[in-house]
Amino acid sequence: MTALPAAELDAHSRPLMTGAQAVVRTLEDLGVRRIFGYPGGAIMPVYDALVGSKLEHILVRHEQAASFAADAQARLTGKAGVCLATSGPGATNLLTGIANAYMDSVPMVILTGQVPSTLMGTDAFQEVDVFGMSLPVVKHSMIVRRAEDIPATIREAFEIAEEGRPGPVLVDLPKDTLQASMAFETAMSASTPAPSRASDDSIEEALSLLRAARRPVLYMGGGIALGHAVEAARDFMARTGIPTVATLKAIGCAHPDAQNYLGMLGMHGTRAANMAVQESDLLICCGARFDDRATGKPDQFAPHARIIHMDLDNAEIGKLRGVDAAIRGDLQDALARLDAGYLAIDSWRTLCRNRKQEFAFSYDAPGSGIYAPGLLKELSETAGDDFIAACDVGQHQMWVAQHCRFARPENHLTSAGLGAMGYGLPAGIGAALERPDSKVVTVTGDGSIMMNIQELATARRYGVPIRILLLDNASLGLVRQWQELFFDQNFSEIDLYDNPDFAEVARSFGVEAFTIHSRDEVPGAIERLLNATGPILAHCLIDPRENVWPLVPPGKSNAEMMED
Amino acid sequence: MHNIRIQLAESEGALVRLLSNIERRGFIIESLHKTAAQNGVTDIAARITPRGERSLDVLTRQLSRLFDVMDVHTPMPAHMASHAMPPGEPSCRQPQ
Repeated sequence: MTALPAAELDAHSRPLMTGAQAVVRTLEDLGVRRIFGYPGGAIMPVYDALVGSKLEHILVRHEQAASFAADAQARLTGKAGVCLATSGPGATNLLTGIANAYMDSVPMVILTGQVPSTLMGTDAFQEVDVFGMSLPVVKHSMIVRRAEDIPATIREAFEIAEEGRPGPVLVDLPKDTLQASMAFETAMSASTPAPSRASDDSIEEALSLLRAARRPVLYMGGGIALGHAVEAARDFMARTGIPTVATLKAIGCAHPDAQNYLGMLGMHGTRAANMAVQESDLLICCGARFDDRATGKPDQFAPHARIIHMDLDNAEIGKLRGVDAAIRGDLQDALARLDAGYLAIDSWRTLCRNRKQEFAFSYDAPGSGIYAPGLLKELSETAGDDFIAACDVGQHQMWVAQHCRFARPENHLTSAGLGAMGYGLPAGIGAALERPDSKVVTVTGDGSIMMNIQELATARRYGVPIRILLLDNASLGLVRQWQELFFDQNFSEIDLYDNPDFAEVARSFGVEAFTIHSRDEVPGAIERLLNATGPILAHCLIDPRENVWPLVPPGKSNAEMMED
Repeated sequence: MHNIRIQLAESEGALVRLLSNIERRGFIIESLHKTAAQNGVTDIAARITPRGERSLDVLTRQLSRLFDVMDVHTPMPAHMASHAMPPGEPSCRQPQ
């Protein structure tokens, strides 16, 4: 039980309970429904208090998976995901997931057990300074020193994680504070302040740049989805007709059928998108941060463009590129106020649209082998607007970004900033638990899936409706591609010729699985995947020589795209 | 070399978080002075040097968003502190 019997009250009629019971009770009071975690010594008091609580605890098989699953749930809901682990190795195993959430601005609350306060700093068993280790990758962090501080600290963690630009917040819980008795006071619901509003002057400044522009481009970033500004961005696109490109995180912000949407920019972006940016005379960067994978060689990125930078996070303005107008504040509000009236950009718009058609991807690959881009396109179109992809990292991740259709940005779960292999399977589990009626597909590779393959057990245990599409090229494909193109074909440690039979592996976990080899098997495989009601794995053997195109070589300008 | 003054809440880990941010964002801490806390607030004065082409103006905003940081003050005018980066110029060149 989470609370002791009602008779045990203090002099102010507050229920007496342990710190651990207060942790659970506070999470319940804050409306948390599901947490992901793994027990161990220092966090055992919390696991004791979880028995009989209203919280659904998902037992993962590696703490990293808890952080990735919580991350995916948070991306879908906009509310902080919660993960829980013990001290020492439990806490260090969370770090990759914390870094992932930090890089992609995902709201997350991380609860770690810690050795008792008296032992902290003595190199005690399973003691690591997770507070110190996580400092560069958290939005904020706290160590709770008194049991009675637990409710307020956890509430504050949620508020910080979700307000403004979201991010992960770590709360370290020494075991003695979890075991101490305290008088519980309900933490008020976490409240996040309304985001600040951009100044009128900054909007006016941007409008004058917009009216003068002849080749404007809207450069959309992940901040649009985080700022609940997807509809505002789509309205802006429709109102202005400005050609638009998206970062990896902003895929799905534009309606996939929008005529002026040119696709992803950057290293594996479309030629139409990169050419538009390079030729633009005004770049409206909205919720993006001039990441190097998007910009290529920074001093040759959009070389003729004046810059309007819109961001809720003031610290992003001018970080990597000087700006001509800075709009600091709520993107939804700012996009609505950015109304310049008629823009004389017809010829520019036509040029961009023509290029979009001219350089559209073609899916008529020769041969009878499975062509991964074609498979992914067909899969997402068949699944429809309910399609949610949880990607791993590598070639398949870029193929998903290039070829899948996403109705909403939240439906594209990808480790963008960190690029963490191993994200796909636990993220898919987190997503499918949150959206059991959607078509959640983990798209993974033979390298990535091995980073968290133990989570097949989690998928099986909870009967998670997750479809796993494993594109197996028996190699670390993206590294192999770079070695082929940029390291004189000096192939080093990329050959995974001795992979296990993944379908057999899945079946040994109790997960339905099948293998396909040829293109004519693809429609049946897609149907079988999408009709599954429990976990299922489709093992697809693809050509190891297949590369991701187009490609901007590292250190080059986005104008220098390589094609097949 | 720049002078920077920071008002900091005296909470656990606040100082190391602040200093690690300054270093991680590309500045060398040349000298440092911290006052004893009064009413839970301490004053930090530091002299810092960028390792490369890093803007003090951007660092100031990066530090300001830390929850323990209550105020950041750079005595030098912002347009000088930021290397007067002209609009449109990349402010950070990293060969890759």
